[in-house]
Amino acid sequence: MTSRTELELTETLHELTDSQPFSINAEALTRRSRNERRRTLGLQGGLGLAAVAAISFVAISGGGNGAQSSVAPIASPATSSLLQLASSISSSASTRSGDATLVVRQQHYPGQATIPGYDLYGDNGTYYWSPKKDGLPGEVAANNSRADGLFARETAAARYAATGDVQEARKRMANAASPDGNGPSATPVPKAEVRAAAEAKARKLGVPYEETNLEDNWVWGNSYDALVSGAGDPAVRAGVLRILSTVKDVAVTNGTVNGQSVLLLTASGAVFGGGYTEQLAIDSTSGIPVQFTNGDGSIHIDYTVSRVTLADVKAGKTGL
Amino acid sequence: MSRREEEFRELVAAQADKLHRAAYLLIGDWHLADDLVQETFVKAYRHWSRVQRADSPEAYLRRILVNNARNHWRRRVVREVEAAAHDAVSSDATEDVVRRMDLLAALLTLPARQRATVVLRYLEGMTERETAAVMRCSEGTVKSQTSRALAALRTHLSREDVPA
Repeated sequence: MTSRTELELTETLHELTDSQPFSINAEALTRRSRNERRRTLGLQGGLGLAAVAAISFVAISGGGNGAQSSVAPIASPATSSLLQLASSISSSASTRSGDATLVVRQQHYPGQATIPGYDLYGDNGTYYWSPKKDGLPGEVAANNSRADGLFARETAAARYAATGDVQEARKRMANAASPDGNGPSATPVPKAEVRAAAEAKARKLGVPYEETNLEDNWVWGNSYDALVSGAGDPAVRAGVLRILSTVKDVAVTNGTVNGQSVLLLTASGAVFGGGYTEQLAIDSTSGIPVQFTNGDGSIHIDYTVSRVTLADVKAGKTGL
Repeated sequence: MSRREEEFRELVAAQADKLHRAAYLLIGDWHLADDLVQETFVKAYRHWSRVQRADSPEAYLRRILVNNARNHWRRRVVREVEAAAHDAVSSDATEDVVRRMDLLAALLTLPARQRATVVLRYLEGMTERETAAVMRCSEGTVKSQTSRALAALRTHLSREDVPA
């Protein structure tokens, strides 16, 4: 039986909390969650990777406030090839066809059927998504844009980088996903005991312990988002490559994916810490993303990018 | 946007406001409540497979929230939370407002487990069984914690109380 006290308590607690409306930025929260999960996976995944005898240590660089920088030397091979491709993309950019970019994702996870995803990024800032290939026309017809600023700051930072100051662009990219705009420095540093446990685990496994350079981590993660969501815009692609040229622990090699000539961008070291790596394959002449692979290669995502018109998608004329 | 992110956004949209209210009563500060809710969702996203496997994702979220709140409690001294509650009462507050803020101050001085029990039972409207599941304790413990909390809070409610 509910007593008078309990009823009054319930009423009073609601009165206490009714006065404060609360709105949460779901987009920013999703980005923060995604980035923090990446860092966690980086640490956890890295601890299980190949054994390396030496324990190495890379200091946290904090946010974009002028702490330690990991800007690569200008003359490094990775930097040169990224800047070279960026320059090539910029100089060959012509008027784009269509008014939207369709990105088809085929996500491959261990032991699971391939999970597709259909993302449609309108040049007007709209964003439509469907897990099914026949779902997009309905989404566009219903004007069910889910943009809400999704990746807007990331792509803006990339566009700025295409012709602007790359260090300023790097800072903007690092801060792009921060809910309050303060960037990596707003994220709490792992507690001492958590760090000690991670170090002990690394020693036990004989793998290197590296803390994450948060700024590099956010630059990598946000650049990846910008490159995928802005895949149809040469300025975004060129800008992303310029920004990534500032990350010391991004290596660039030539390769092929499904017979396609690609540049393999491999992020490792302080980008994640703990020995974890990620690899992004981009077309060697256009810079368009082709494939993402996680550290041990167990997960990969294939991208197919095309320019379309919103009207054609709405009418079901894009061959989906 | 991945399927995980889509589902996550739906959960945020459905639960954020409720969690925010609960967080405020657990922590006694709206700004800290903002942080607490964000931390809760970040952890939920990190352990998304557990959220999906949970019998009740809502209950799982509340478990994270209560655990996070405990960490905040450890970092704060009671004097600070009491002061926060009393500071919120303006000089021209009505009698009702004063009474509510007195109750909040009293709530914030309760032991952590009792406070969480009160919030889950009387703000969230959970049953004793549901509260026990979130708190990872027996229903008997929920009963005893509730009884003690009510005894402590009773004087801050109406004097026209009818015993249970």
